[in-house]
Amino acid sequence: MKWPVARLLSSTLLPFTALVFAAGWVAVLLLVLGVSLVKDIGVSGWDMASAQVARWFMFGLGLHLARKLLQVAVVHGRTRREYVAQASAFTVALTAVAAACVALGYVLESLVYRAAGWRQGLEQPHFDSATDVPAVFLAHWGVFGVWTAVGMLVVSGFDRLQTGGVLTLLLGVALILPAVVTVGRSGSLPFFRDLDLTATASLPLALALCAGSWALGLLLTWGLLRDVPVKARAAV
Amino acid sequence: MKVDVQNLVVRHGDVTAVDDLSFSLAENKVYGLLGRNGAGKSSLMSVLAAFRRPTSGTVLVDGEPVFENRRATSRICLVQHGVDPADKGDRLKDALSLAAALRENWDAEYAERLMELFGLPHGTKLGQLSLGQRSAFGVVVGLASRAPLTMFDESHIGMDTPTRYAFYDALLSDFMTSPRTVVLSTHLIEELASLLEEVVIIDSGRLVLHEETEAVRSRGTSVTGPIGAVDRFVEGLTVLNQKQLGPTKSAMVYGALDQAHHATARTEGLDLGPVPLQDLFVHLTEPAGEPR
Repeated sequence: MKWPVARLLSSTLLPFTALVFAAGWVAVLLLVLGVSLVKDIGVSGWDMASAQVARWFMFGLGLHLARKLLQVAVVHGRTRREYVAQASAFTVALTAVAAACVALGYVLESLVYRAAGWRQGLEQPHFDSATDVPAVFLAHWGVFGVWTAVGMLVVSGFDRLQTGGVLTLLLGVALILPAVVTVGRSGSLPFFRDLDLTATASLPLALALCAGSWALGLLLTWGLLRDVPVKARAAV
Repeated sequence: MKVDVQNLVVRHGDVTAVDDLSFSLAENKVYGLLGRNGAGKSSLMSVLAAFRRPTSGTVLVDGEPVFENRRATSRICLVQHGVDPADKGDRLKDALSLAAALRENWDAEYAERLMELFGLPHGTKLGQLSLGQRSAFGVVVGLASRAPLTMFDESHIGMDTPTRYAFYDALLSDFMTSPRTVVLSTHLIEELASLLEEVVIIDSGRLVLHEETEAVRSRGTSVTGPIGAVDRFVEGLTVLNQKQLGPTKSAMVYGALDQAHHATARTEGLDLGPVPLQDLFVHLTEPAGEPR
């Protein structure tokens, strides 16, 4: 069977990701409905959630991809090279699904807002309408790719270098900068608040920067994982 | 699957776990890898399974290097205590699907039979299993992998006696029908001794002995008879262990007995017999300057 790792990841993580985004969309809608009882709605709840929360979810998926699943794959006779190559390719599909979920979420939200008579205010540099599906999709695809790759890099750094892994955190912040110029409100990080660099790059340039950052993150991850040992957990 | 280890060194920081180790394993035999705690067994097996890169030296399986070599690693399975074959949050049925997806020779039907044999619940999460159940699941993964080189590193930990015996029976019957190279690391030497065709004993990361099990056993003899006669017989010999019950004494001696000793035994009415492998192991791995 070709690409067993990518197939396995696709069959498990893609449905999981879609489900999480669906649940997130429902949660945001309920929150907005609650807020609407006390004040007028003038901003898109999905715009805030997809910019601020979704990227952290993708970061977490990156951690999961690079740490736990790598070890399991090696235990079952797969090489690190094989795993990282297929997992890296898989991040393209994973982030595309996540971006598609975001784009769908915007469209569905626009229908709800229209029905309720609310204004779906967006604060985005590269799309100003929830129905501009290609731009929404591409912008989030780029951002999620960067965040997933950075998640993989950071966990690999701590796994390989222990406390020295903090260096990969700093590297991660640098790699995330292209994402900041792609989707508005995605620049808020612990210790680096309000890195608002939006509107400083066109969408094609922002996407090119994201792609470069994404690729560099995966390359550095490979450098850390290429001979990482499988370690036994502490005896129980 | 044939295994060749040459001048293997594995270091963890300042600690040398495996120190210039060389040996070869022939295919389709059951080997016991014996050593005291910290002898380097787990490190050695980790390198054999490409769980880690060796510090220096070579490990070849069927003539191919192991580390990051798909042709080799796909034919090796190491079940190691403390290394889970799936995420702790995975249910066992999902963990089996995972193994089926990643292992080319996975035998799903055999895995189901083993799950039943060990009474493992498919719907339970790996992290919720007891230690013994988790070990049993490791055995399921190891045997159903059908890997030509299958290694079990302390796979019996936490198992109760009936489960251990079920493991040994399953291993033996599978080996009879589908021979492969099996390496078992254990501290329960006597329990497993009858399964082992050859033993590899390491101590402080170095090879102490690699011989057929029967040859190792022949290195020692138990002498049983009247106290005085046994004491006279063992004088000048290396005594591993001795026990006394009323007027009868039993002593275990290390080293081959010559014709004169056999003649004396017959004359004195002493019974000569084999020595438990475990006692020989203890003697062979005794720290220098600490004779029993």
